[in-house]
Amino acid sequence: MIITKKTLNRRTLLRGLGAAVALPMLDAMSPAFAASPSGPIRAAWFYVPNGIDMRNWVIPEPGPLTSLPPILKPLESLKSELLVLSNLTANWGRPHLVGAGDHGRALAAYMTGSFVHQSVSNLKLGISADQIIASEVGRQTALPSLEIGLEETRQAGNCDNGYSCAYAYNMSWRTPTQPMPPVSAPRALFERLFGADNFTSPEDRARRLAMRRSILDSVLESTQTIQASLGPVDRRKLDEYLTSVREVEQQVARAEKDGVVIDPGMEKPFGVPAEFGDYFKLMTDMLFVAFKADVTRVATVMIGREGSNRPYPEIGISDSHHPITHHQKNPVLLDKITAINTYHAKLFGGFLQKLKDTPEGDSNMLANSMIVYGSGLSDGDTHLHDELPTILAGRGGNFFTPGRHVMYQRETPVTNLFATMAQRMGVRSEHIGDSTGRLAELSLS
Amino acid sequence: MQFGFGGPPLTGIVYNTTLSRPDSALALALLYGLEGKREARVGAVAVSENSLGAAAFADVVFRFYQLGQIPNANRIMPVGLAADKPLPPDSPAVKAVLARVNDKGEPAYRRGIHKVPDTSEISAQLRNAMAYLADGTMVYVLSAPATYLARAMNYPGVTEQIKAKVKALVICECSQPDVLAIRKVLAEWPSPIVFMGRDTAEALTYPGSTLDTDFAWAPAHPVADFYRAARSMPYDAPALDPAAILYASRPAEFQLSDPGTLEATDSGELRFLPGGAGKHRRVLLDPAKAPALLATMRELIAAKPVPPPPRRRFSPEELEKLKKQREEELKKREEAEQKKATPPSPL
Repeated sequence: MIITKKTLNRRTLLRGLGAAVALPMLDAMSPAFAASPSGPIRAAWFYVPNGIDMRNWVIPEPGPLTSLPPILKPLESLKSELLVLSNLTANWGRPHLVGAGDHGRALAAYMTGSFVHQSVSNLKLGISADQIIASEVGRQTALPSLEIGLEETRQAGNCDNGYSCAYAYNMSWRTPTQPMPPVSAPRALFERLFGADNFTSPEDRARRLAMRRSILDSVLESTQTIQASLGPVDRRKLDEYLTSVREVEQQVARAEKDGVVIDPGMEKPFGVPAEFGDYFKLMTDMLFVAFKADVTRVATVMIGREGSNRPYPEIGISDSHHPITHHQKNPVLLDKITAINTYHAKLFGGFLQKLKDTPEGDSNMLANSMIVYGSGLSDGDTHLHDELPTILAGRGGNFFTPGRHVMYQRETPVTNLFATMAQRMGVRSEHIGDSTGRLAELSLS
Repeated sequence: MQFGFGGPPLTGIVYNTTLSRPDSALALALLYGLEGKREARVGAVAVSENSLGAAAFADVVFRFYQLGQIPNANRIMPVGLAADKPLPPDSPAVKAVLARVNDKGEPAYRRGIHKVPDTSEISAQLRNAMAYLADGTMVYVLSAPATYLARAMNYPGVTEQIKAKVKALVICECSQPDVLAIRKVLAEWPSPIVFMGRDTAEALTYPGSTLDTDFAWAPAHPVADFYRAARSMPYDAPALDPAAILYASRPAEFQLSDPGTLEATDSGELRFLPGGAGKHRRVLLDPAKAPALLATMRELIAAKPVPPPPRRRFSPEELEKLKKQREEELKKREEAEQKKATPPSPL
């Protein structure tokens, strides 16, 4: 960090005609010697629907991560940044006395650690881990939390044996009855992050959209003013940041232009890239920028809604995802599930690599992050809600000791992991849902 | 861990044991004997103050009573183990069971627990087990230090769950070195507490001389092996834990004292003080009934594994009818909930 006498308010925005753009964390925003040299700590959850082919996920013994199982192979170069956690459980996802409806419960119980009330109209759940954290940490950023979904959302109707679609389509719950619907349209996400509609009159917004003018062009004057007040390092940082914003903006524009050739076999909103991999990258690129700019420190990414039927033609799988997870040990179907799981891991790895490659403070963005990758189901065929596939990526501000596989006792609530993350972010809440404490062994120091 | 039998809900028994006495092994056999007769279901088995091998033994006994392949992991009963402090070595009785091999030199018993992560975190398990059982059907049998039960009581929502689910906590007369924990349980447990004293166990002493006869049907039986290796044979074992489990399933076979107070001394001994404004009771046994009850207990302990009831196959017509019934039921429930949520019109 370069110490200069120049200071800039943490919440400074680049403002212009019909737009406002948040800034990344700059040295000028840190009073000399007062701020953490590492940068903010962030938490994110990536949810994989329909479970995992556990044959190709399980690591038999605890200890240092040496060779990774097939599904995790795409993360090989990042294994020094991963904690693979075994045997965690989402107890309230189980059938208990209710019976069927595992997909209806899996996602909701995973994030909240709460009983999922079986109803189509009368939602009752708990507060999700991200929202418990956001309620305390969110005051420090423009957006308390960010909810991203890579599938269209439904908030009503019966999605699984009397469970409302709201349970299967929402990771985040602000209150036991109020979900936080994820943003799935790239344009909507971009505008939520960078369009700053709060600062825009309807007339300005309409004019800008009509002109198809770049948001960055709109704030050009403001950018030049701020640049003049910055030191050379901050100027470079700002330039890099604005470049990445522009790239994302161009991707969004391209996606909208390409929208006419969307595969008609899938339900997609206008502006979504035809290939899932492009979609994933686009949305997580925006998350990356949001983290970099410290627009938010808490995010959820629903790779698919629970029970997702998305096919993956780009990797040669034209079957719907959910039906093939009921594989009944059919090796052909199992191989397809492995292929989908590996594809997701590869895309996730791309996001992690970007965080790792981005210096921040004395280390990098990944070192300051806690990124959970997992599912509320292990085996999708028998609907197991224990032995959940779970990865914690990042070091949470050089606190965790990654590069290891940790095996807990069975029945250890997955919410114990979330409670540990919440504690790391300074949240005072003692319990998250059904958590029974903090996870041990995440740090060796 | 789904063991639905159909019909009215059965008593679910959660057994927290040290597995340090021969009668605790007999209690496991009794549990599965009751389950085989569809009189009770095993809610959970949790082992504290003992070794990894002791938990493996509990798992061996569970698997012994499952005939054929266990269809999937949902059917495997997790065994809890208190592993938050260094574990003691395996006892000779546990070693004898786990080391036994068949004619081919292979392990005589199926085993799913080899390392600590194969066991369950005990307090979470004691809490989670409640979710599987219908309201008012659960009995906790505590024959171990109350440490982990007291810890589970601290979790959010557990008191309400206990109130709804647990019809009784049966505390066996055993040492309670964690005095704070047992006192917390005795003071705060929100459902009835009954005390199973050693005197009742003495009246139901298992005769070691009958072991070979009782288990003659099994060429190898883990509980019999445990019993034989625990002490020099033949010996008789006061059936403290089996009596508690039998009470959990068949309370009508016993009597209860007038209310009194169960308390823990500073040295961790349990004492039942009759009278006063106590809210606990002691389990009593009519001496005249003891021989018959002991015979019943022996029969249940030595019961053979029973295959699960066959799954009924429905015809397509029946399935369609059931589906419609379920949809109607859900619709009615939704309507009732919506009605409840809508305030009545003042007019």
